[in-house]
Amino acid sequence: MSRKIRDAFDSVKADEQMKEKTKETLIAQLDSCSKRRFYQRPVFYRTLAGALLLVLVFAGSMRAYEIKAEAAYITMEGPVEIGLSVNGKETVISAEGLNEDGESIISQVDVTGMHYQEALQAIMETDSYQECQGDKAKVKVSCHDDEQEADMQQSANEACHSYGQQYREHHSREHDTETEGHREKHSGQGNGKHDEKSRGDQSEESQENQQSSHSSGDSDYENTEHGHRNGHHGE
Amino acid sequence: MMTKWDINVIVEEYADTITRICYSYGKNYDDTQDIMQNVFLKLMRANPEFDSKEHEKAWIIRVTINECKDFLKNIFRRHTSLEEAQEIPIEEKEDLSYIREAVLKLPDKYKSVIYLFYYEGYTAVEIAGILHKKENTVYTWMNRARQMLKDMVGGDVE
Repeated sequence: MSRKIRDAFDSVKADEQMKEKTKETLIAQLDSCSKRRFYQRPVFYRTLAGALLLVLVFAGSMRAYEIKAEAAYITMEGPVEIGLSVNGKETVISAEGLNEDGESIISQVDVTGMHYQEALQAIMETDSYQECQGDKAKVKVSCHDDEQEADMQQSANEACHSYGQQYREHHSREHDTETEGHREKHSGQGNGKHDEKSRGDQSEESQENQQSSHSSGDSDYENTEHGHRNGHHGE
Repeated sequence: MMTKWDINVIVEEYADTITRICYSYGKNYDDTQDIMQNVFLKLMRANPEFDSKEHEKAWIIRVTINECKDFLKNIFRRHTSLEEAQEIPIEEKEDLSYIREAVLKLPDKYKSVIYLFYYEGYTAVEIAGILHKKENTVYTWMNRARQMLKDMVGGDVE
């Protein structure tokens, strides 16, 4: 039976026509596959996606480098010494006090993330800076790019100049107000004391005058002295 | 990637095997041609790496059986009616059509086992590997198929 089954199926065969037609179909399929344009193939899209990804990664890392990398260093010189690290976008990435006063100011004002001009202004506006530094601010810029260094130095100088002007204006106004206040206070206080004292002197004088018949030349001296004092207070 | 030469070789080598499996599943000439093209197209596209010729043949048989089963689902796609369908031509000296008809009458799962065991000469273990079935299942199907063939054609089916 096993032989019969084998023989029964052995006579079932694909005819030549079927084989030829199958070959033609497969060869046509093979030709159409090889003729497919490159951009229609999945490999094209994979390569394109890979290239785009690389570009994105490169652009991202460049941007990160630009944000994180120090492009310039600004030193605020004078009694108060502060160092500011600035990136390519002219933003302060870190600030450090280079002496005790500088450290104290940096602990008061956070300038990280500010544009360097705003940072300089913020520092200069602090009372501690003005107290220590007076009207003379000095800033020095160091940068890899000479042109950028010149620009930044000019901006910093302008900020210093502006600070000096404002400081002087503010303090002259303050001085005027103080002087005026002092004068008013002084004159008001002087009159009061003078009246009080003159009243006291007059009573003393009357008492002394009452005793004048018994006194010697000393009383004249005293009168003269009092008279001199009164005259002095009157001025 | 296959070449034209590869296509010629592979069609000459496996066309008869595919036709026999299709025949055992009761396929007509046109269906057999469609199934054959599908099997070879899958081979071209998948381009799998085979350990040996036997591995390659087993892959072709497995895919052909699956195609035959799937073709039943797409029977409504037929362009030709069953009356118009052309039978696969068979030339034989001795009339063994009664054997073939008996095998065709078996359920699909049994006819695969009978064909693979008696014609292709695979062992039960190998058939289990090709059909992705347990060895014991293959033995059970083989015994039942033998019994059914014995009932239909008589004689010893060993």
